[in-house]
Amino acid sequence: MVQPHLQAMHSFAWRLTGNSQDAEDLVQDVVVKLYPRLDELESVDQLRPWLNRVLYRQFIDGLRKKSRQADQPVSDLMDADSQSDWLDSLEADDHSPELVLGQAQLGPMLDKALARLSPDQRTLLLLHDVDGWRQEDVAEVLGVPVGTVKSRLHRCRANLRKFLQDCMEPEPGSGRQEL
Amino acid sequence: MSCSQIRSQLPDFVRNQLASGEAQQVRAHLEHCPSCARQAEIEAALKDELASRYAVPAASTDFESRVLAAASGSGQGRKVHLAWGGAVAAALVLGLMLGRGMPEPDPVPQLASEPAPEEQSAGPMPEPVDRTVRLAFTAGEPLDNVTLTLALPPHVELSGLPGQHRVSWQVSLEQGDNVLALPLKILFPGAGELIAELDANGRQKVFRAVVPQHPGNIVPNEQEEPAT
Repeated sequence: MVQPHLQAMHSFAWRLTGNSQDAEDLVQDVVVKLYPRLDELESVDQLRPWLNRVLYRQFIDGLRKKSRQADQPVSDLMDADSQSDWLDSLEADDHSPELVLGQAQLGPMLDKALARLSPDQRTLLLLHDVDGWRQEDVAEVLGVPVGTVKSRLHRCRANLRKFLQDCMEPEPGSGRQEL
Repeated sequence: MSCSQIRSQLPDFVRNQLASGEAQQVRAHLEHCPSCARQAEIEAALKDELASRYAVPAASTDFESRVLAAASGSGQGRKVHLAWGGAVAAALVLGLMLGRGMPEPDPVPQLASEPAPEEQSAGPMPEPVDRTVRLAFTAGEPLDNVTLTLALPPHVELSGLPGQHRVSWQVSLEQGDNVLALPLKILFPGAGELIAELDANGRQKVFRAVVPQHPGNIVPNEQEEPAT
């Protein structure tokens, strides 16, 4: 029942953990935890988002345990309200900057720009823009409204484009260099 | 719609994630707005670059079977944490060259062990002791999908894999030195070898090394030396 979803769970886990070993361990922990609850799984209509939600909660629980030990904040992806309100309040002034760049140096600049995003922003952006998650899927897994995902995604993209623009050296006289 | 509104939709437009009506509006705007059309090209390039640079790597080949085995309690899916490191001390070398021409390795591979944090002394009834053994592999070129098989003597197990004396993994080797830390459990005094087999796309190498001694093997008043 779970096997058809294991690769997708691994993909999501990799996005969260950033490495293969932790991703595989996270998926294994979830599946082991769910194994005694197979009857419950049979009653779930949409199993993949449900599994991903369990996986995400397991990941957050692990972060919280570590953060208690290290006195560090955990991911704020799921702690929606206060943070999203704050983000949304900035939305009105937020415009995607115009980009002027060539593809030759796009890759290295993209690396630098993505590195400037927070881990949560980067995860959200990659889930949606690379892995093809729909905003509704992200919202369901994170347990936040679709509108929150939409506004956060918009802000992530705007930040990425701003950082990309920052990566470019200004050309003397023009203030902008086309690569 | 204004150019600003159009540009905010371009990321979804290039990913075909807009509703058909919205997509048609964007398409119509791009036909008569060169500036936004240029932004659309850049968005498409960004999409492609993101997809190529940040795709999630595939899970290991035994991932599904290991997870399912762990869930069903068969024991074969238990996790063993194998830590790869980049640097290696010369004294820890299990010499191995994989790469062009497969040059012959050092004839006498060596193992080195680290004592467990709490050293256990030998007693009348020997207790298992933990030893971390590091294997160092030097690869002449990056190698993916290398099958590493470890064969252990009866008195030795990998921590987390009780009762298993032959274990295989798929590993990737970086060019240069790669260190694999193996958490061993020495169950009781005994003799035997650890056999490491590497299979890189049909090229095979087999190495034998002495397993660290159980404290019960140590003769009183004889100083234990680092296992070699």
